[in-house]
Amino acid sequence: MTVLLFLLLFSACFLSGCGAGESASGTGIYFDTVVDIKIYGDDPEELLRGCFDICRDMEKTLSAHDEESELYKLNHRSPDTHDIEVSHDLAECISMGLYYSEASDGAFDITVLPLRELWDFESEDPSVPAKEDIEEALEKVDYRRVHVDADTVVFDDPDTMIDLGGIAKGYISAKLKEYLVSKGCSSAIINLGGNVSTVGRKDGGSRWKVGIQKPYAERGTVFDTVEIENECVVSSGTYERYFTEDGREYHHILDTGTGYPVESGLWQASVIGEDDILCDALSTICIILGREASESLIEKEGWNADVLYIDQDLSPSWYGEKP
Amino acid sequence: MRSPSKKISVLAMLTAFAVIMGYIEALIPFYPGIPGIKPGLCNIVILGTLYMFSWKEAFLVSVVRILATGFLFGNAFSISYSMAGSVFAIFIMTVLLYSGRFGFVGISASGGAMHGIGQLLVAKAVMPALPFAGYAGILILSGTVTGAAVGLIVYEIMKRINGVGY
Amino acid sequence: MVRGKAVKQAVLFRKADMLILMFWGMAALILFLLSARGIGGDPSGACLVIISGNETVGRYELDKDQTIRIGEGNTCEIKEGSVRMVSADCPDKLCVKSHGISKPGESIVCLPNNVILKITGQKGDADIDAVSE
Repeated sequence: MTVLLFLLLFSACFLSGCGAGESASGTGIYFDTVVDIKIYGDDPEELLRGCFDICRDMEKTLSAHDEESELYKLNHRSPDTHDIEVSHDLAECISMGLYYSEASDGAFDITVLPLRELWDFESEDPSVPAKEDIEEALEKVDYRRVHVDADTVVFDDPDTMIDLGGIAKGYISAKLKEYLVSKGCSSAIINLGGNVSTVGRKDGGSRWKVGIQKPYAERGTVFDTVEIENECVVSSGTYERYFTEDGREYHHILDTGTGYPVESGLWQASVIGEDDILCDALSTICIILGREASESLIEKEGWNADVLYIDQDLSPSWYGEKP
Repeated sequence: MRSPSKKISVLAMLTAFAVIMGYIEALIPFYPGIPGIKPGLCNIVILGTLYMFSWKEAFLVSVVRILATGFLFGNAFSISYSMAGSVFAIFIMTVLLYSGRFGFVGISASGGAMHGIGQLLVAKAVMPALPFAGYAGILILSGTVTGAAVGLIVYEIMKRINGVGY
Repeated sequence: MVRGKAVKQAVLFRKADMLILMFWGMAALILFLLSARGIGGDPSGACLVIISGNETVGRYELDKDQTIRIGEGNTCEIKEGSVRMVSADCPDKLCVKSHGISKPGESIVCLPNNVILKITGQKGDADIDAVSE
């Protein structure tokens, strides 16, 4: 009996220890995005906490609307400030954004914020802005007026404002993935408001099944399903935010040439690949450039990604292979 | 049992055997997708101990086995599940064995079924939303089937060592 | 304690064993029937989790109809196994317009008030892990 008691006490010391086959999941709202993370493996709770700590940090850095965020302060700098030293994350994210702006020759432009604010798709009752206002806003859009030198952001023009909306989620999910892998995690799924990114396979077994939203259908309606491992799936579509005025639909993906919503004939583009940032930027680029131009851009840059294009009559076509 | 040292060494051997059974079970890729369903090979040793000694020895071997395999292949959760399961199983098997009316198949099958119920009660305490009824049905069914098979194995073993002095 | 005297001879199977096997078989069958009728817990273990301000503030089973107030601005309702947001003081009211949720993985989100209603539970093997949107 003494032996038994000793064993029980001995085991109690270890009961807080970790083991295999565990999982933890958590949901929260950060940077106006629903963040859903599920982790399998040893000590998932601690990794989950680590992930949400990263989200909190990123919110303070990259959030567009939070007046306390670093990005907001950068955009609302005093007119005579030309260069500002920022955190490494913000500098890195902006320089990634500049890379994709340049690669797409300004079709994807991180300085689109003045135009986006004018359209204000997030407002309760959005409407088409006046032509003069659009032209005025377009004047302020040019990614070539921003430069990043180490951790310093240099502006050539006081009116230039930065919008990381097309790339921030990809940047954050890449960071989360990097953190998880560095901690030895081999199975996790990260969903940042529809950007789905994965580490390894599901609980070491089968590949992750990720559905692709059907455009303009009820949320959660799946158009197609892909099976991925270590990759991410990012979808962009005109259906995400739009309004109708005088019988015409105006969606949120804006053409930096005309100042109006792009008309490439596509409703949606879903990009699958291992580089979260590339997939995030590319999904928007595909909608803006349309199928042919975006395909030749992918070829030219040697980007490693598969794309599902869905055009206005809901017919799908794949670039690369469906995973 | 004639000498206490012999009893201790036999029990130690049985415990080691039970741990090995746990190891074999961890090796077998037997995962039907529902946690809690397993062959229950360890019960060969537990039922054997119960038959040769008494419920006290069976319980001791069981506890040591659970702690050892728990630390080797499982975690705090698997230890508490197994603990609850084995207390239930040993209880029912002791009652049925001492009644003298049942054979190994019935005793062992009941042990398997009760093992599942014990585990499930712990699981329900941890996860209140667990679908109790459906899960209990699955675990009772699988425990009864694997338990009956274990009973057959124990019978074959006991038949052979019956004359060896226990 | 002395070992039962009746077990000197190892016995494989008696008539009583048949009865006890039948007993367990019946027990399992009854439990399956109960489960199929939705008694004793939803087979998927669906459960409503309410997250407000990035903290889990409540867990509720879906089999009891009730109305739950969440913080200052939101109210949700469980009715016949389905969850809806019935009122919210946010400007867009997208959460109130959302369809009811009942299956594991589904959620209703009120972004302005930082409130999430989420159904957790066991997903089927064929179910997808996430939706890219």
